[in-house]
Amino acid sequence: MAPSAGLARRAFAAEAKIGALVIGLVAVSMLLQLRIDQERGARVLPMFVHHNPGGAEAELIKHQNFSLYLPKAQALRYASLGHRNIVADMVWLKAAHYASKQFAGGGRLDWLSKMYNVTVDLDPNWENAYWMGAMILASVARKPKDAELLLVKGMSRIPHSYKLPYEAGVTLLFQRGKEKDAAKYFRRAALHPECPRIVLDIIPRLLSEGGSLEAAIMAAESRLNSMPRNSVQYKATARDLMEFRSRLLVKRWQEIVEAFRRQVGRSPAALAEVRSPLPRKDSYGRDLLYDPASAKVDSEGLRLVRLNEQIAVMNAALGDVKHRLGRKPNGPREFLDEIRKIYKPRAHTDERGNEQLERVMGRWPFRFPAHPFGDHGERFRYSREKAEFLLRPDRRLGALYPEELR
Amino acid sequence: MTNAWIIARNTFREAVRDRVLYAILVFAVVAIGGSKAIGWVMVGEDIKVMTDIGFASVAFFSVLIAIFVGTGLVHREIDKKTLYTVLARPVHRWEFLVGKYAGLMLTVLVNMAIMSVLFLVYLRIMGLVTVAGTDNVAPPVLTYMNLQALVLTAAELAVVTAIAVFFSSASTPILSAILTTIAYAAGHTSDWIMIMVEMLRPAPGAELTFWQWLGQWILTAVYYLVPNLEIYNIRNLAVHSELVSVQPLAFWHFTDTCATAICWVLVAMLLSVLVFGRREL
Repeated sequence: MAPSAGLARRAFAAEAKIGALVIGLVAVSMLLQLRIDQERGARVLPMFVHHNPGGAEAELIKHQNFSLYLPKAQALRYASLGHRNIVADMVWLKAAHYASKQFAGGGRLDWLSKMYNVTVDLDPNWENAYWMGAMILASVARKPKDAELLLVKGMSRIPHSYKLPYEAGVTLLFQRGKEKDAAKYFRRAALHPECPRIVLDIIPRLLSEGGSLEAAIMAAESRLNSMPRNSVQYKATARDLMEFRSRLLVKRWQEIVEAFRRQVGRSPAALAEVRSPLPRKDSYGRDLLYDPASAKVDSEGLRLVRLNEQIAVMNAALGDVKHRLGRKPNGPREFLDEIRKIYKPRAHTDERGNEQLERVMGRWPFRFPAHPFGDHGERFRYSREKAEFLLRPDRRLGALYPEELR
Repeated sequence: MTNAWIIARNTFREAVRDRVLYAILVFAVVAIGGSKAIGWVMVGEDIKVMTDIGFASVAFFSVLIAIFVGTGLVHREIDKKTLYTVLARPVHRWEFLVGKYAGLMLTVLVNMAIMSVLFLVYLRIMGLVTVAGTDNVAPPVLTYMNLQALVLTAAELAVVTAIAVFFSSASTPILSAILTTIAYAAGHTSDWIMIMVEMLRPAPGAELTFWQWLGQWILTAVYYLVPNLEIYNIRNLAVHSELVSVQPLAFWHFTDTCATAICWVLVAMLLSVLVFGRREL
């Protein structure tokens, strides 16, 4: 054999050994990687599940829900080499994917709060990330406390935003039932010079719902001053203002009755028995009502407002019933039977023993009136021809307001 | 300086003919144009995402040009032996380096300008498309803060290019590219050094030990010896320039930042001249 052939064979053998070694090492590292992935798959990256959808990892993730590894914002900030907004966008996108996937599968949304916090820590001036993040946390993930914390973080970083305090107010009012704190945020939003008109218009109503009637009155008065007198908004706000004033008057009278009872040891027999400089007519010019048995103060005008709200809900529900039946209901009995199929009964009845009904639309309850066919001695008339519940003409809202507000 | 200018012009011409440059430019244009695709997924945030990607693309691809073209700048001349013909003429080594740097900066700035114009025009068009049919007004794109962000990005590029030229004058292209990338990364993470200094602060009531003091001293020195590239990065803020709380940099803050860039460029170039002057060719 020629020496060159021997050399070539030896060289080939050496190369083959190196090649085998490389292949062996790659195989070992693949095996190691597989083992590492099995461990990571359950708690770190769910993407490994795709390789084995029916496997143990997939089952584990199904129960543990979509879990993932998300570094701290500070680490991501340095790793992004100055492009932290891009990383924030990616985390935001991941959060949207996570939320939709978990929500569709009925899974928990434990990571969502952290994802939104990482997003806003990477891009602290991204106002919509706080706003939309908080909305999703409060309404989809049912984590209003986390939503509030996210918004508080946002308010400290973007002090000139009206959106964030407004959203904080809505979250606190509707999700956490903290009326006073909500009112504080609504006031803060209303003070913002760029707060849009529609938000300003709604703030007095939200403040009143939150129990801050004085603040609601102030907000409504200030809105009225900046509105043209014949506009629809002016009329709506002026009507709201009348309602807030009446509610405040009733509240004050209730406090006086309570004070009387504490002082005298019994409830007053009539409001006339109580000496007070407060007016004895509500802002609609109607009488105040007093029930000596329960010692509750009310107002004629507010009762009418409530009745009208109630009939509006009834007529809205009538639309649902017509849609379900494919025709107009024959009478109140049939209406109520159908309503019970559409609306889910709540677990409890109200203080008068009336069944509480609510319709679950998504996750938002739409409450059906406690007294379906009238209240306080009023009865709604059902007109089969018009397919509408009707109030007596003198009980309609039109009769309550002065000419210029109708 | 005439010699330096001639070298700069030739460097620019040479870079323009380089196909790598066009490839990077095409990538940048695709990234800016493709940002709309991500914007579609981010409901209601498309303009924000497009601005983020646009600014990032302008900065990132310009840095790529600075690193990949800049690190091979001197070595290529040595490799092709063209450096000897240049230095055989009455041209100083420092003139050669300054010319190379100026040529590369011109290339980077022209590319950056092309990308920026494309980005701003694209953003304007997309802004108009988004608000079409509504009462909303498209957000302005040529704001003072956006311009500041682009000028400071150019300042950052000037520093990175000078660092690339420095490493290029002292070592091989691959090593230069690695070292420049490390310097770029260090420049963007140097804030972290000051966090470490804070970590070395003694607990309340405890006394500062000698080692803590030494550690703090060394880390602080390192912090100031590494050019902090984050000071040129107001791109993340410029995206939100519509917010009242986000204000453009004050005039003196802006000029100070630009002056810092000039200082670092001079430092890097002087070191380059020093190293290149001693180099055996």
